[in-house]
Amino acid sequence: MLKIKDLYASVNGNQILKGLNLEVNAGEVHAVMGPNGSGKSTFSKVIAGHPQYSIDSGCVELEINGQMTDIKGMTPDERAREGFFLAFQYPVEIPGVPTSEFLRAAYNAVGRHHGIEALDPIDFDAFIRTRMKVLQMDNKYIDRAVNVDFSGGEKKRNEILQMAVLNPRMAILDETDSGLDVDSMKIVAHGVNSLRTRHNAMVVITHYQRLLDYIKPDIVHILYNGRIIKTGGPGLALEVENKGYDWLIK
Amino acid sequence: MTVESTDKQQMFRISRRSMPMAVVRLVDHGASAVIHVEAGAEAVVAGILSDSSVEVILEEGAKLELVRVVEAGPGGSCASRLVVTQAKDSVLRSFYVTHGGRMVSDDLSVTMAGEGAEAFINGLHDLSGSERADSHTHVDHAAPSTTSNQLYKSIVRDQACSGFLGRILVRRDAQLTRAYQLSKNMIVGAAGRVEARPQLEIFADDVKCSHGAAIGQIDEEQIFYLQARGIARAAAVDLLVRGFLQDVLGQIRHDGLRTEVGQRLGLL
Repeated sequence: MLKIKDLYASVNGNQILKGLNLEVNAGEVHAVMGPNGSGKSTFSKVIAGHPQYSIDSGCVELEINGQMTDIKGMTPDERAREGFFLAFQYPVEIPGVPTSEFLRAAYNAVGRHHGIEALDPIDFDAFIRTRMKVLQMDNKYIDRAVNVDFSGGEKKRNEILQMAVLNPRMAILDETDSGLDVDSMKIVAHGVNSLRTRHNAMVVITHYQRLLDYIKPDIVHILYNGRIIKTGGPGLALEVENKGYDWLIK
Repeated sequence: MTVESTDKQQMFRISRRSMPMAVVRLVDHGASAVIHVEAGAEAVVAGILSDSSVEVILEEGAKLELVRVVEAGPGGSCASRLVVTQAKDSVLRSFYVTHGGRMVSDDLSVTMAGEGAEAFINGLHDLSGSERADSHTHVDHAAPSTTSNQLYKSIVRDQACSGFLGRILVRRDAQLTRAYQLSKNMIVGAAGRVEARPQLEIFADDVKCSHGAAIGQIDEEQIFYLQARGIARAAAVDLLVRGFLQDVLGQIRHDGLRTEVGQRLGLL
């Protein structure tokens, strides 16, 4: 689904990723953990195609129409239309644009690409309400401007709502647990789990083990200094929780 | 309502017996109109205009919503003018919008002559190419406890240029005046220009006044966020522009007119 080979990437002239390798197959959930500054957010921004981040060498391949395809030359919106999704660590506020209009524009942009008929506002409203129920979101959110006056937890739920609307095949969740209390985290995790299928895959980036109690990963990676320095099963996350990262870095 | 029309001038006189809230249409024939709203009466007036001069008289407690869409045509020029006199407790809601032209200017002057008068004065420049639009507002607080609220916004694409000069005068006797003015501008691309100049002259000492001007560019983080959801860059820019204009468009109270103006601007 996603294959990253020997990836070197920079932001503002600083090389952050230094030989990252990662392969994610359909049906898998991977966790990427690591201390601050290890390159976790750079990793997610590079894969999503943020214009300030550049690939110096190596490659990123996404499965498109059954073929592993290098996505280096693709714009962020082309990647999204091909089934890639990034849940932002810091969701962006967009004043004046109602959440419902934004979601519908996104749904129709992705849908059109796959030959799915566009939904008008009334049909879309019915569709979105079923998705919001899963995330226990109040209907009032869709009338408000995107992420404006949303609490931290509401913003994160809104990210997962977008994921539910776009139904991506490959998603990266960038510290979706940060800023969430335990109850919100359970709801968000439930939302994420309800989207797991044999046909899609996820990479969950997190600082803490606690999210992984609710979203159970198949494989855990430790990212340090721009590279994966250790890969293991779910037990690795628990080990990090108990012992910290120092024993891995030495 | 009585209407008297000559080739040169339309005269509307709106009384309390007039049809409630039917939109009165101004006809654009490059001439002038006088709108006289009698005491306690309410009116909604709208027009698609070019060169024009509109005079408004609001008697005590009168209410008027006036929407002027000024169109010069591609590459054309025009000058429009609005002069309003407000008596006690009258309410003006003025909305001006233009796509600009080679040289499009509007002069708006409001005299708040009666205590408790209120004015909401809004404008929108939606410019592209090498178009230019200038709005000059002059609000004269001549009586106590009067309130004015101005919001002007502009979208400036390509090499277009938007100008706003807003003057507020608070006379010595106009105590407890509240006067607010805000000019917000969004430049799309690198070559646009905005000139915003607020001018306040305050001679009373117990007043609340504020003014501000903001000039910004399209936020690239917002664009990236929208793109990350599959929305192409051009559509993302459109969405942000619409979002930026939403609050000023929302100042139009009359639902039908708000929709009409929104459609005309391609916002709906």
